[in-house]
Amino acid sequence: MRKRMVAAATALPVVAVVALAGCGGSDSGGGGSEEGVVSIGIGEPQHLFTTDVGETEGHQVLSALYTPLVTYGEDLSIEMAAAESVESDDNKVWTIKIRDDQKFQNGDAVTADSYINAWNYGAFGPNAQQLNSYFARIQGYDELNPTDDSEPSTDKLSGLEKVDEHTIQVTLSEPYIDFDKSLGYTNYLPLPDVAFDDPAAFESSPIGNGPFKMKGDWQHDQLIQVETWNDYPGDKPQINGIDFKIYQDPVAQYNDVLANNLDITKSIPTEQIANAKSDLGDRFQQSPSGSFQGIGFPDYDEKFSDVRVRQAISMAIDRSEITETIFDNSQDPAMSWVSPQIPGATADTCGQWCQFDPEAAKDLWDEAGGVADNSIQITYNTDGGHQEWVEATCNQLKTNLEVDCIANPMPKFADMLTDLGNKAELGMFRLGWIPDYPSMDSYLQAQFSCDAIPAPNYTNYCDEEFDDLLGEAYQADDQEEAQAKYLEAEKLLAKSLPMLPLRFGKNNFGHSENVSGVSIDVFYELDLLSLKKD
Amino acid sequence: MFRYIVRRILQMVLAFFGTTLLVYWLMFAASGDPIAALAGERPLSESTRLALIREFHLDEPFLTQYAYYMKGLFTLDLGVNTSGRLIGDLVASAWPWTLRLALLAFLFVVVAGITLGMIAGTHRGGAFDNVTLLMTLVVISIPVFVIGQVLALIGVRFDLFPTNVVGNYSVTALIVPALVLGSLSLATAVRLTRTSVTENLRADYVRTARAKGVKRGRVVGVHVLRNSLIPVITFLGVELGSLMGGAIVTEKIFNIPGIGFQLYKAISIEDGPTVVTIVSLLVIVYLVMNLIVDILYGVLDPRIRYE
Repeated sequence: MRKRMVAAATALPVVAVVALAGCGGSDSGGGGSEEGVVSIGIGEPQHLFTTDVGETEGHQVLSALYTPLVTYGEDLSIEMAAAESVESDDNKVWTIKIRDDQKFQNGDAVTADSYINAWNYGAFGPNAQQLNSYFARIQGYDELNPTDDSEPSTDKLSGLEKVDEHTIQVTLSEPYIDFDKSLGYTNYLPLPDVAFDDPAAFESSPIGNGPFKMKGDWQHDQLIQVETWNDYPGDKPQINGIDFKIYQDPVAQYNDVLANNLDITKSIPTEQIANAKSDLGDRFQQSPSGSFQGIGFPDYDEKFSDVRVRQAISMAIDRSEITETIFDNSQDPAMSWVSPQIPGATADTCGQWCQFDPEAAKDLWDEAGGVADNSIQITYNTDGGHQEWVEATCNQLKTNLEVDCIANPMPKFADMLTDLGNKAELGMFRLGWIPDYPSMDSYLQAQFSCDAIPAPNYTNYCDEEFDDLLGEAYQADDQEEAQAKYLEAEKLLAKSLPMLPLRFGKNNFGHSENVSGVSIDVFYELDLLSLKKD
Repeated sequence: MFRYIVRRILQMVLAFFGTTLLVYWLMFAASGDPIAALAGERPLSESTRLALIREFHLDEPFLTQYAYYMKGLFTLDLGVNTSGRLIGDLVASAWPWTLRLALLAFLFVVVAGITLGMIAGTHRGGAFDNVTLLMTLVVISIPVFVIGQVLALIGVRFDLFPTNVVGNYSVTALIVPALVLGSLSLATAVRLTRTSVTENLRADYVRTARAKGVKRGRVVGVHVLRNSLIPVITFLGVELGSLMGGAIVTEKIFNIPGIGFQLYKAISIEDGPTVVTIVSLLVIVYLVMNLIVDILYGVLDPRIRYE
């Protein structure tokens, strides 16, 4: 009897403690939103420290907290925001004047140092910031990023000079006409001095210079709340605050918009698009996106070395059929490598090679003698929802070219990259791209220039004429001249087809009945200043 | 009894080390390039890669990395995951969600399972028994994610209950996910209790008790129940452990930021330290639950002695 009492006495308190530990645990934020507060669904960001934000979730939060030097208008032309002017005579030395009414939300003034310190921090290799490579054009970048694992000789970019409290002079290592356009991206945001004392702590409640400021801390996997900052010198938002609700599952996010528990979902999973139109009615909207999907050919693979083979494959793919049946028109067929939304780009640089013509394709294919063992494969990563369209594409090739086609899944994009690096037999592989700023160069340099081998130029395309044309564009006197050169360079891609364009995306988003003025731009950014809450 | 508990705890320690080594080795061998996995479709610059490799000791041999990890574990410095967030914080904030969900599911299974099982067992062959068996069969055969998705869909379409736990938190929001999570265990618990009860009802001591005039309610509720619970307790004890680890699917459908989801995320970005930490935690839970179950054995059945 005694022993049983002892045993019971041991077991029960343990269970009780475990139970209490659970019940006494953290509580959630949330509950209903307050007056004039719009709720937006996002995934959990990786970081909120400006130079470490490489993904769209973090971007959206930062676009509430910060105002960049420049923004882009409806037609994607450059507009001054935190900067008063950005000028250069030779595209190599740039003078940036900051508006003197700019402040941080903790009272500090936004000065030249706020930018210079932030950019030096981001560019300094040992800080391991995700946006480090975005500073590569600035003179002095190489000293901060030795590739041989040695210590950098300095932590300051030699190309950054403080002229006075509100003026920065930036010297690039090569002329670059679109430097001013690139200033709108997240890596060029300013940071207050306090950010560098403890970056990890700063991330949980960042202080910015934008129309909204943090309300409380970043509640991981749950919620990020921001409220309107009354001392903001620019245009004020028409709402009182934003609740960024964090969802693990896009379907749960969509369900909440249907139930009016969430105001805005920035994307709707492809399987739900068909339902979305009937469920949401005019609360379902679409707008063009700059995102690009394509198929690349590894340069080391002998099978595809004959350009006629690549041309045949491109002509044998019926891009419209895939966008209509698999994507329910939530994406558009691509006939160029640069989105037609970008100033200077045209929709048809791929020309005849992207037109669906199965007879011509088969003729070319036979003329080139087909491929060894009459079989090809398309490798893709399964974690991005690509299985359906890759298999459909394979089926089209089977039918139109009478070749055996296998869709080859890999768990992650990173695994595919590792294999590419090891020159494994991948066949063709699926690629995607999103532009960072509205310049044609944002698609061209990173994916196709010789400098960008092996990443992100995964096809290892290298053409001197292409690089020369880009170089001429960078030194051009005005945008028209530069855009003409970019277009000429893009047309070279149609001659050798290292990568086949397939689709440009669309933003497919939905909102609840309580909000209006919802629009998403080409870079997947929600326009926060046009939002209105009923 | 005391010596028994001490021996068991020593065995637990051994099991703990063995499992962590195994899991750590699996993560190490399976991961291609965790830095690339972190970066997604845009590559990191070479210097960023080198800095991250240095920080996470990724260029050192396996045993050295394992030693770093164990050292951190014992100084309670669980380290940071690949996003730089303290793993300790991550686990501490995710744990209560899973615990609440699992306990609620467990409560549901215990109460409903044992009650239904008892009634079915005492009225064996009757209408109630047959209906219960059929329903449990149906529930066992439908995968948990189907049940979950269907209920979530119903909840949204007919606006009956909230399907997003994090955004609209109240204890009631956890009821449906707990039902979903507990459904499989419920079916097994009912059947187990029913079989156990029918078996015990035919025992000699029950006949004796009835012959002595003990009321049926007391016979069943006190004597039969106590003896029938032994196999059920074993099952339920282990089940609590698996409820916590297996809530991944339910957590995803109902948007609950618990351990299961964090584990899934960590595996998909090949975040070794986080995976090993969470798995080690679940291992400890299992081991402790097993110990408790064995002790309760002794409480329920006086024939069992431990030395």
